[in-house]
Amino acid sequence: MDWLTNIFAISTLLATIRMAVPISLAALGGLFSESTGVINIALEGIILMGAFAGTIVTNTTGSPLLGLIMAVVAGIGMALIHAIASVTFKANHIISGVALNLFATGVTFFLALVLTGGSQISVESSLPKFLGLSPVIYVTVAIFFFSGFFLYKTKLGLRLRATGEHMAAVDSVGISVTKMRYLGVLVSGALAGLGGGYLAIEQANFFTKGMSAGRGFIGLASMIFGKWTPWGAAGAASLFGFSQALQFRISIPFIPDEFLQMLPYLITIAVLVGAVGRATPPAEDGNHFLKEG
Amino acid sequence: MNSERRRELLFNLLLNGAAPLIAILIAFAIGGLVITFLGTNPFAFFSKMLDLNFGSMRGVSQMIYRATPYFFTAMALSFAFKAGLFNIGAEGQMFIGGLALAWVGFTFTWLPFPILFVLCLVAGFLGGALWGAIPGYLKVKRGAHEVITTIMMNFIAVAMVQYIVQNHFMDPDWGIPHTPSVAKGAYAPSLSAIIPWFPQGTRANIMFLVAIILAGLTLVLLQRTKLGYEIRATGLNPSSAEYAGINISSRTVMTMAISGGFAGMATANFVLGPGSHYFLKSEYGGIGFSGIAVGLLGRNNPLGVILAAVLFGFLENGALGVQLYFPNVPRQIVEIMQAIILITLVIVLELARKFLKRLQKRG
Repeated sequence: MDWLTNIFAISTLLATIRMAVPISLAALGGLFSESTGVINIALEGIILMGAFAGTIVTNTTGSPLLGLIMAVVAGIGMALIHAIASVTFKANHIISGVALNLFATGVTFFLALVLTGGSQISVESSLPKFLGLSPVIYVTVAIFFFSGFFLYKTKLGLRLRATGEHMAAVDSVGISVTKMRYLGVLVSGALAGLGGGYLAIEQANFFTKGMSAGRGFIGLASMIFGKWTPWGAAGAASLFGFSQALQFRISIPFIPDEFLQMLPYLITIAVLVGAVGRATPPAEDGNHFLKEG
Repeated sequence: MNSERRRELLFNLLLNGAAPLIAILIAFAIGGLVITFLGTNPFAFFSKMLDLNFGSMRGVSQMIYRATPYFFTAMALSFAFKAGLFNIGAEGQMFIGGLALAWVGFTFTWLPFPILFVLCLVAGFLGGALWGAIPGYLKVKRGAHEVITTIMMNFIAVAMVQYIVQNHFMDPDWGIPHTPSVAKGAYAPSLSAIIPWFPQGTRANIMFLVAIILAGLTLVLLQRTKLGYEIRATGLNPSSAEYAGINISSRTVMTMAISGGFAGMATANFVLGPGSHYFLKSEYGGIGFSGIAVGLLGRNNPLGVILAAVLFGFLENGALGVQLYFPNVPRQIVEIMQAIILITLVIVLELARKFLKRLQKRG
């Protein structure tokens, strides 16, 4: 019955928190983007790009802090392409996202080979732990507090959310829909980029090809399960963090490891199946702003 | 009437011809820049690629072999697109279908050639169809968005296939887990056995012809049958389709099943074609995802998809061969180029649409 006590061990709780960070940052990123009505499935590729940029910069400068900053910058860069394609050129949001995910997979693998000759790069240093946890975890909590306040209590936050609900109304009072959408998408890139940087530098201590492993999509599912609210998203992301923590910490008799590996993905589907109908996405999700005249 | 015809022609030419071509050219330009940056002459690089693919019938044959699976995973995307559905799950559908077709091939070993071969294809189709129908059903019944569910189904398929091959079908003499070999009756004949002037000893096989036949059949299905009409109507305007009495739910599930079925047959080229004759999971990763780019580049038209698949076959076959000559350029350069084709394509298409709209307003 070792596995049963393991599930409730304090180490499993800490692992849950660690695993939940990249997912919750992706979920919050998705929330910012969809608040303005832009669907961002490029989060997956952004996490990968952030992980790669963070790894390379940490190793070349010796500073994990610079690495994390570059991860954020790389995330913003990817998000900028998504914004240009889907906001300025009004391309289909999902196609643009798929393209960026393919791009991130190819580019990171290619550059890893060119720079190091292999597809896995170990990270040489990480931030000093604070109370046993990475400082990024505390930063993430702070970001969630700030976002909850920002999106619901500030003028800019309300404008962002209004863009996702009724673009024409926002436009009619003289606010630029395009600017709001760029802001939402770029913030989502910064957050998911940070999540990727954390994943490589603080959590795994290495970069490997395809290491995002669906976290961007699981983040989107968390956002949906959390009914497009920051705290809901954080709660859902913790659930996924828990399911990922389990797969590393326990080995349940008669259940093959491969089935534990499936767990986060099965839960994602279960969550989507259970959540929808009770949660409503922003009304303008996936729409383009077409101004008359 | 005449000017309208001409405008329609211009529309088609720009959106389905010029836009993909421009995207391809931009991808080659950026790829060339990267290659230059790595200290290799891009013209030498690409002309070697051209030579490897088109320099001999052997090259053409290898290119076709590499192109064939892309057709199937791309059709998975494109077929679903006709009903307004995004099937990003070709990767998982391909694995499930591939395992199913291999299983039939090494289980019913007493069956003679055309029967077992066809049964394998049917099993691949059904395996992929099942894996595709599940997200369709979840969308219809519970409103779960197919983009996320199909992606999750990919991860589940990978873990499941890994488990099944490793624990139940593993050939114990091998380090890399793969299934036992399929029986002779399941072998897909090589193209040289059918077309006399085709070079012997290459891996291009009948699956390429199956792809062409399926492309034709899909066109007929979509354009000439009631089911095809209903699928297209669902894609164009679901609420008016429903008003017209079309059962959108059943059409959605059916479209996802057919779409997954296409992907399910993708690995037949490797498993049944000349070569190893067994299912080796690690060989096929990524073909499902690249299929997304192939389908969109082919403008979701079955014939366009064949052309786009051949381009991807060209890139892959070229990349595999060109490595010997330019070892400092990793062959993953083509993966970047494939992604760039897709990104530029979506932008170029919107620009073309804008341009056409302006033209229409003026004239």
